[in-house]
Amino acid sequence: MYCHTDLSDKELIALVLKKDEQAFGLLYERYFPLLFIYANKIISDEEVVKDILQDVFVSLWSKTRLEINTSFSSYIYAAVRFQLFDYIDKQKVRQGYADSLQHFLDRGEYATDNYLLEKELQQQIEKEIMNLPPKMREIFILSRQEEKSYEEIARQSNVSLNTVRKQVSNALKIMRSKFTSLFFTFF
Amino acid sequence: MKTKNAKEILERYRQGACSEEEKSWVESWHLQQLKESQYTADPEDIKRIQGEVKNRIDSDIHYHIKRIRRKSQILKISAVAASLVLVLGISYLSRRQSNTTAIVHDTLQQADIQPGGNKAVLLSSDGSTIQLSEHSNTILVGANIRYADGPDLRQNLDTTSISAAPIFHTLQTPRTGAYNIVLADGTKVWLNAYSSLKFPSRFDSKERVVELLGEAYFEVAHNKKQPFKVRSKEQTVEVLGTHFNISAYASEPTVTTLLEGAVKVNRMANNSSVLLKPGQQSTIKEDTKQIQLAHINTEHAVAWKNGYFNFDNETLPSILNKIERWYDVEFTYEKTPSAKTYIGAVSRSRNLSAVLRALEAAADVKFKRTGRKIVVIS
Repeated sequence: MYCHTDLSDKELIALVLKKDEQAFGLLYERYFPLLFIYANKIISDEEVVKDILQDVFVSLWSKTRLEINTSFSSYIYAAVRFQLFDYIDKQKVRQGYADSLQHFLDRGEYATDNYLLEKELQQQIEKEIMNLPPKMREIFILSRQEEKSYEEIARQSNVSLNTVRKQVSNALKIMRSKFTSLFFTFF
Repeated sequence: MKTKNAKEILERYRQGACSEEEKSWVESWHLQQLKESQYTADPEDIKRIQGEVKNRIDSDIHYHIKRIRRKSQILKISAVAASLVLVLGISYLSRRQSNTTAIVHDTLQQADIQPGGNKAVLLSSDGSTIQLSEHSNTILVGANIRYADGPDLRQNLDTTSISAAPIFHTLQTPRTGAYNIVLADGTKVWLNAYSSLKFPSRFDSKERVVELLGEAYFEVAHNKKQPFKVRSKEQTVEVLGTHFNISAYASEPTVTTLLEGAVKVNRMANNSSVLLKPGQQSTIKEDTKQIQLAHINTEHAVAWKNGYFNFDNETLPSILNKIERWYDVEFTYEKTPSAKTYIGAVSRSRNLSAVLRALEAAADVKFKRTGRKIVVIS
């Protein structure tokens, strides 16, 4: 069994569904910074943002089943987005946001491809990774990079994904202990 | 061209009831908002807030608190800064409102009201009344009755002689009092405020019977040959060896919560009964024929024994009833209180003013206190 930090989002979620607190904490570490910035860009009230993030994660923890068709990141970005719109709708700020949307619609310059839109939204949320301090950044990037490259390696060398993960995990452990800072700035 | 109504579209989007086209409009706008935002984050802030929110999440997770949306509002009892901290060191649920509600200052400078403590009296069938010491919190029933940390309270109960009938005692707590007792068979009982437990100096007959008025938590000693029964105004609970809590205050529903083991709750009025499994709670209300059963978080039901109040989806009057007993105060309502319910927890060792502040913030009410009478202004 390898260390939790090497697990993909999908694997962590599977553990969270079994009430693994460590896995839950790791997912939280991976996504909190980005979600925090995302929420703050739409709602400028820090207390509300904190409540929203708390709600989203507590709700995630209490799930006994979770079917994600796309990726965990789209799921969690959508969960936060729902909370943002929920807040906008209920509070006194509703009018301000409605006016803004009205103005936008009247100008008529919107895209209509939902798939592309989702990709763009994801990009806007994730580009903030570059504005995060190194340690926070690497927690997120590492999880992305690893999954993609493992799949490629597995395909190319005709080996199972698990084997690749295990081997890389062992290698990473050795590397990290010797070359910590060097290794991470490589990304 | 059909005019688009932004407000309606937003509403439909939120409900998930808009068309694919409308969805793309809203999300394009959302995307633009993101692009145009001037917000920049301070990494130190992120780190700090990440920690704060994680603490709150951990509290929520460990107490399995479920939020229930009532009339599209969730209100929690606030933890006013760090001042309301659990005895167990877990921080409380956060406040929803971003403004702090003003503390109501009475025109007279009144001394703050202290929380309850170890107060009780022991009344006995032979006529004696003993005020129990506040320095101890537990008494043990054996050949004598003594405090857990040593000194005897009552001597010569003569439990060795079976020809003499056992003496009946009543452990009684006032408002603001709580006390613990270990009965002659080893059963442990935590008695809450404004309650009384009647018990014999020894359990002689084929059943072990005690009587309860108010609230107590029991950890019953195993004895297959001698079933343990707790009688209260509306029910009798029969147990073998278990951990359970009974709340049987006058003019409130009788609630029995089972943590471990098995109990049978027998309703005396119509002789109906239910068998409780761990995690289950029975409620007997005067106006309801059947005994109601529910699965609940048992930690909440016994929170009082662990040093804090836990409000699990309770109305304000229900919450204030508990506060009344622990602080010996009386609440009256300016207007009929709403049916809104609240979730939260507050330490039982805080002074009244701290508790009232928290409630004011969470329930959007104001309290005006004169001595021990408090008016609730909503």
